[in-house]
Amino acid sequence: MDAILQAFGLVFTWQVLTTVTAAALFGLLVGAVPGLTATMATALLVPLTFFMDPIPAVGAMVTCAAMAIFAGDIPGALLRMPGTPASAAYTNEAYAMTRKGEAETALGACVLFSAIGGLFGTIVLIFAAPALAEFALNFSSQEYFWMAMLGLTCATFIGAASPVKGMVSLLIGLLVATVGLKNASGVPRFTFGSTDLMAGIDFIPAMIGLFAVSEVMRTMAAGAPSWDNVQVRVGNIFRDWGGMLTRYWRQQIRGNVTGTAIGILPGAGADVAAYVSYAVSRRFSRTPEKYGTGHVEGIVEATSSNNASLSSAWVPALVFGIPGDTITAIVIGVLYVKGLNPGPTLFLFNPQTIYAVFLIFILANLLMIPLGWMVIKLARGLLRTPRSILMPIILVFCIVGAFASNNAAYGIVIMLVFGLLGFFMEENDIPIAPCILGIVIGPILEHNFITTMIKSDGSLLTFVNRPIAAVLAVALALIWVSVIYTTFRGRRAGST
Amino acid sequence: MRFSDTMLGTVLLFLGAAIAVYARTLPAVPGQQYGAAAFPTLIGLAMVACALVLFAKGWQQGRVALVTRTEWTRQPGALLAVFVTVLCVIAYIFLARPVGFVPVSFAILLVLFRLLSVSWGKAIFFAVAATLVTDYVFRSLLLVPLPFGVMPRLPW
Amino acid sequence: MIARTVLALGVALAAAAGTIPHAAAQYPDRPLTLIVPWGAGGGTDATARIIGAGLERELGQPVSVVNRTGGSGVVGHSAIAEAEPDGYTIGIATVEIGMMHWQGLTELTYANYTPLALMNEDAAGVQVLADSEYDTLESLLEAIAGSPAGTFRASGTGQGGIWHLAIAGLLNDRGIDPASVPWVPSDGAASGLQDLMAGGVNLVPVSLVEARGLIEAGRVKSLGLMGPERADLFPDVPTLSEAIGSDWQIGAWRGIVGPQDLPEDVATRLMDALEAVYNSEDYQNFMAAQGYGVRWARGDEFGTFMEQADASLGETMEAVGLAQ
Repeated sequence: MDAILQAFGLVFTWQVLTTVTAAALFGLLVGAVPGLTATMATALLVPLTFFMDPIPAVGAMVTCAAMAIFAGDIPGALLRMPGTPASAAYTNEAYAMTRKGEAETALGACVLFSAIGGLFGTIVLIFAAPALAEFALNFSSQEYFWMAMLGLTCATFIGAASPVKGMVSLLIGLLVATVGLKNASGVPRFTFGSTDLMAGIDFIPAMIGLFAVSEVMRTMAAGAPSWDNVQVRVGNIFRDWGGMLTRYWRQQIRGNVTGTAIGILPGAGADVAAYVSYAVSRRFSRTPEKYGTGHVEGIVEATSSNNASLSSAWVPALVFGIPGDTITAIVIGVLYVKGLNPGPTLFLFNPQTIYAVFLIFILANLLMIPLGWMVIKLARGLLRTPRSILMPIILVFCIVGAFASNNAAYGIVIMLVFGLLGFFMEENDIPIAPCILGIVIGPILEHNFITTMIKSDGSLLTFVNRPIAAVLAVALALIWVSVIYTTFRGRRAGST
Repeated sequence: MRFSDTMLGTVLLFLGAAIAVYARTLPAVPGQQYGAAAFPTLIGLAMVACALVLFAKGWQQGRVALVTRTEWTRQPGALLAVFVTVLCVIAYIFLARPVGFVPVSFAILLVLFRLLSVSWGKAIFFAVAATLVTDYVFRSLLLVPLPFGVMPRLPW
Repeated sequence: MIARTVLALGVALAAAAGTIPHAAAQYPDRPLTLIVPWGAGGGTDATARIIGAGLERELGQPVSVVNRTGGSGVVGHSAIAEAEPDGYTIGIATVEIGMMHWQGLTELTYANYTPLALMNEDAAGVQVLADSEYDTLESLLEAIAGSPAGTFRASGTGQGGIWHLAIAGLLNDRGIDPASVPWVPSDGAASGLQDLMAGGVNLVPVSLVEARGLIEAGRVKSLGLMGPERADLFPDVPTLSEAIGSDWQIGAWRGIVGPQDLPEDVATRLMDALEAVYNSEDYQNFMAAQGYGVRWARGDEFGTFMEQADASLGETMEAVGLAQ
């Protein structure tokens, strides 16, 4: 108790509060700019933290990362350019809502459920970190392989008008992910002697191309007409939020739990969490046909999930110093510099500090609500701007964002190629979402397959002879049986 | 541009086959059964399988033109707009380093604004404003090394 | 604001017309770029950022740290080598520059750079689970030699990475076939350690600082260090010569380099600045707090260091079959 009071004393000082607010605004800016990720936002803060006390230093990074992941939703909803990869899963959905004039509702859901998801992940972190970290450390390549398979299965739930075209999209994504040197064997593939291609195809410019550039091209082709629908003003935001909370409480809790679970496992991250949750949401929805047409249900679940995973990524980081994602990797470094060495001792010897860090997690997620709301109000101005002014500026933003992803013109080349590819795919009703899922999960799947094979000298039995792996394999098999069963029943019902 | 199922299948068939053949050239990890070639081979084969499904669908549909022009391409200026947009990005890739971000960005914005029939005054104003704001935000706040080219550093 | 914008435009136009000369008298008169071949979140990125902050103070110009990642470091190292040799683009080179060309991934070698300063080196350690039955390196190596190939597996970096080379070189040095401990490639030290905890591999030969969290948590122990002397971070861990009387040494180093043919005066100015950064309290405290080892070599001395490292790495890679 005493330690908790001390923690309050550490956090509620002017220095900490102003630092955290400034970091929040910075995170909002970086997250909202496509091409710049939450990881980069955190990395940019590193030199500044050298001159800060431990609590404001950690507070700044935590707040900045949480805010950036949320802010990625904003350009996704308004301009169809996901600000960070974690928003890509539901960018189409949120943009469809904007086209229907429901931008405020969509963004309102993003703010509210991002904050709740983040808080949920924090609560899990506070109360269960040591036990969960022990559990996460049992995951070897076999378990990761099955997790990746489960993730890929999600592609079948995302829903495509034609399943074979969905499959084609997924295969394109998987193919893209194999380019370069980053594979278990360390062999350059599809590089044709180019140094740039050795780095592979960076996910961020590819995403900017597939979503944003293809949309810019389409709008340019149509002469950038004004929006079809006038934006609906949400009168009382709290009534709107209350409505969503009561209607979608199940989705929200499921998103929180999924996101937290994925975040705890080192190596997966907010982007995978958002995809899985969006797919799960559609699978269990009573109205799956509404998905993709501007329906808030999937957004609620996925946006809860990505922020929850961000918070729970701290579980292995704080307990064992094993980073759950790149953001926590950066912050672990700062923790060491500040003498807050991660590990069980941090919980034992420095309880007031760890409580102060937890308080900042809570504060960061609460701060998201007023700041997010402010941004939504500003966003309305953006939607009133004529699209003939907006589209060219967006193209320049895309170019700069793609460049910034690796500070090279190669990023812009990727963006352009994928812009054309995305344009072509949508012309032919090939959905984009499975392709991105393939780019994200492909490397995890391949890496864990190959390393498991190296460990077992090629014996496939090894995939099921560990307890957790066996459970995951059975779960996957059950899901497939249920998918095949429902498709079959659906067909029969359709034919009679 | 819309491909019929048969056309899409043909493209996939060749792509899948090419990938599978290319994967044969990848070296194996000594002493291991599965190496760098395993996944690309699998992807290539899966593509060929998708191609076969698409052929079956195309056959069911009967005779459809292999490639059809989508409705929007018939609108005047639509193809030109897409072409100019792509050209602008290509121009940026080649010119940004020697000439610098500010002039190239200004030129691209001006061309695109005019293409969308924004008046000259507005076009110039927004092109200048957007370029300078982008330069400031990315270079100074986000520390992105946008190319200078012939430009000196602006006063920020 | 408007006045400022107009002024800016005026300056811009004037410069475009060539009326304002570019080169000024004193180097540096504009911001510097420091290229990092590895991503944000890693040790090289953190080291580069603290060096960047120090250089900024010493040179009085902003230094922007730019990540150019991918291709196991090939992309970033190429970007440094291909930069204009004017002193405004420098980079942080890592041990991989002495390895990539032996693997046939690039033509680049240490000779494509102007060596400025070696800033850090971390030797490889040999880590096993804390409750492992092997308490000394000697008993572990005996067990490896006496078991069929594949009984022990190691992980901690990609195929042919520095830690792969470390363990393979150690086995080779002891007369054990390096292939008897198969390498399980991983994304980095963290995922290798994760796999050690999960029971997927038996030993993880990464640097002590990378294993620090788990060693301090009492879950992993280090049996030996492949460096010339014990590390300040864990002074209880014996060096190889103490543990098994071997003089095999290997470690990951980081140093600041410029493109080839950097002008003499520019290079000197940078070396002076880097020396001041290295000796600064900020740098020393930062590296000590993170647990990184520090090692200094200036200019030509650093060049000789890279040359020797290159030759010895090549020899080892040849011996263990990792070279092309």
